[in-house]
Amino acid sequence: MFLAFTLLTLGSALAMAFQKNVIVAGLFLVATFIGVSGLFILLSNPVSAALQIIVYAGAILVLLLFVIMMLNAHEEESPQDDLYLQRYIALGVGGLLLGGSLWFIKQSKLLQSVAERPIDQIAPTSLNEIGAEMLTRHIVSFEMIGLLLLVSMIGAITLVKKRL
Amino acid sequence: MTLTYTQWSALTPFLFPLIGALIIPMMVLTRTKRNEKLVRWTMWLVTLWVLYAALKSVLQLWIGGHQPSYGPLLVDRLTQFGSLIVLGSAGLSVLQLWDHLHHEGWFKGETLALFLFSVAGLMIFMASTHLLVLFLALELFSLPLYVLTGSIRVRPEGAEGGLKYFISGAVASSFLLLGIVLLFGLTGSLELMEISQFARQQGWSDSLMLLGLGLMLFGVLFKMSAVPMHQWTPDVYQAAPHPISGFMSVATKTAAFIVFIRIFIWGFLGDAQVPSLDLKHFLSVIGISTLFVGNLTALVQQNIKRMLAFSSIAHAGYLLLAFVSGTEQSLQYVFYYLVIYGFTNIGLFGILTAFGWVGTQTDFDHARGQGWKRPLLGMASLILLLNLAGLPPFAGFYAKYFIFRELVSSGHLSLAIFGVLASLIGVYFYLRLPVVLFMDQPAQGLAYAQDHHGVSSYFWSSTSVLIAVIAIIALSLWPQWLLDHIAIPTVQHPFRFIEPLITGN
Repeated sequence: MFLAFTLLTLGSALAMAFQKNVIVAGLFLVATFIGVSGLFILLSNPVSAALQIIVYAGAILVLLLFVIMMLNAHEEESPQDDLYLQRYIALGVGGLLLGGSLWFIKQSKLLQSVAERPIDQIAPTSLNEIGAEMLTRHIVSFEMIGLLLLVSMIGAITLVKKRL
Repeated sequence: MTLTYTQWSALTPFLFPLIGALIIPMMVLTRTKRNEKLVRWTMWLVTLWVLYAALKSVLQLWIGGHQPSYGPLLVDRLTQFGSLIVLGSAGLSVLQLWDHLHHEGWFKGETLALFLFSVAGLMIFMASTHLLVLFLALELFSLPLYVLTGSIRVRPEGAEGGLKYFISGAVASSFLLLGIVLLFGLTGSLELMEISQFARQQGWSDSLMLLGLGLMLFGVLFKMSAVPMHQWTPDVYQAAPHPISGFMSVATKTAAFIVFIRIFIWGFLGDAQVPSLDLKHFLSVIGISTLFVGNLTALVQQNIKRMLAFSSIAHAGYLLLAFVSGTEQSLQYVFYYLVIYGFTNIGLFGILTAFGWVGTQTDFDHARGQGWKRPLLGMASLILLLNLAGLPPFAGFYAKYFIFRELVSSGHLSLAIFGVLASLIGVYFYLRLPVVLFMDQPAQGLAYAQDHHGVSSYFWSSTSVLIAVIAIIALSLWPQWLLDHIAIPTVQHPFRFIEPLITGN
């Protein structure tokens, strides 16, 4: 199961990155999110899985696809100049990053101990408990997310409205 | 849920700017053609008032020596010090905003609301001891700044700068977030104290732990505009309205340094028994390269705002060098430096507004011979720039001198020599503006856009410049006062674990 969901996630993420048509790429992103939510279920966290599908696949991506369709930019524009040198540099740096992070993961002894650590304090998994946690222990973060949404709304209006 | 008195006193400094930010968008709605002027004045006065109220509540905490906390928000001396700088610079920039936005013909209430959100975000950023709140606060102050950078839409380069800031800022935030996630995954906690406790038991040397800390450090270095993450600074400062650039160069940098201290010194260098994180070599490399990139690139700038941007990069370098010596005194000098730097930079950006140079008209060519038109402003720019360059009669000299002395006495002679060399380079480009202002003939054939708008108000920005100059002169006359009453208390109280920092030297 784990392998299937991982392959689904990684495969569709890669397909999305290499897809020329933006709408198809968006649909691949949906598949990625479904894979991630499957991983959440395997971690016995159904709330996160449901949120992943409802919020990301349901709301955000639909919005994204709407925007893409409205902008009428279905095809990726071809670059004005090819920037070969930068492409190779990017490839090199990307490879370095990949190798580096793999090396870091392999070196880490703490990661092993995390895997062996007993699961004593499980984070709340039911919707009820999460709601209660949000409004008690994490009230500051909760309020700040509200403010953040307000800020992004005001900011977006400030940037796009014709006559303020 | 009832809050105790202490909890309220911890929350009030954050609540005032937030209340202002929530009221002002509603005031915008009541605006019609007829009452536009009234609404404008009211919004502006409300902004000033909430900033004053927040400043006063922080000052009361400071004078009383209280260090309350509410949940993840810890209003200790460190937070209070940073909040004072942020609120002070915010007040001066709001004064300048009145003039600048009138010059640009773009006085909109949303600008003030976003500005206040950013102020509140910066204060929460410095106060948070919980990494989730830290990240949210980072976003809360960054998002308004992205918008404010591009807020004057009549200028296309505003949108360009805003987008650049947005994209590079998003990359930096994701660095920070990835670092936080790694630490959370390894330690199982987002509380700074719990993480450092965990690390004390397990040691710092684990590779993933270091990776997480490194990523977080890069996120913070971006906000300081230290060298590998500095490229956004000149473009953004040039694109943003002058007072916003001034605010960013002072408040964002101060907050970034406070958070750097909060995470890497207050949080993680807790215990002498365990080998602590050794950032010294890393910081000295970053500091020196920041110094030289900032100072050398500033030499060739044709635009005053870009020159100031590179100078602010260079000042991040001096401040980072102060951490290399790693003594308690060096921390005091960092705070000292931040105050001096804050007043100077906000004053300098105010001068740009007070001269009425709008939009892109901030090249040195535009400044030619303008000093004789407004000799007092020209003198103010001379004082502030000499102070920024660190020449002897001024407080900026003491700030640099303290840092270099500390470097020498902790055995980093070569770093101090590099620092002195870099500040010698600095004198050249800092003096260029006064020279251009007073010794050059006005350039022919350059259009000055403030004439198009027909509005020329200089009163409030000149007032803010005057406040900054008076503050600098006073601090130059009594340098010890700032050290005794502001810098030393800031270090003494929050750092219960300050000793290992000294012995670890």
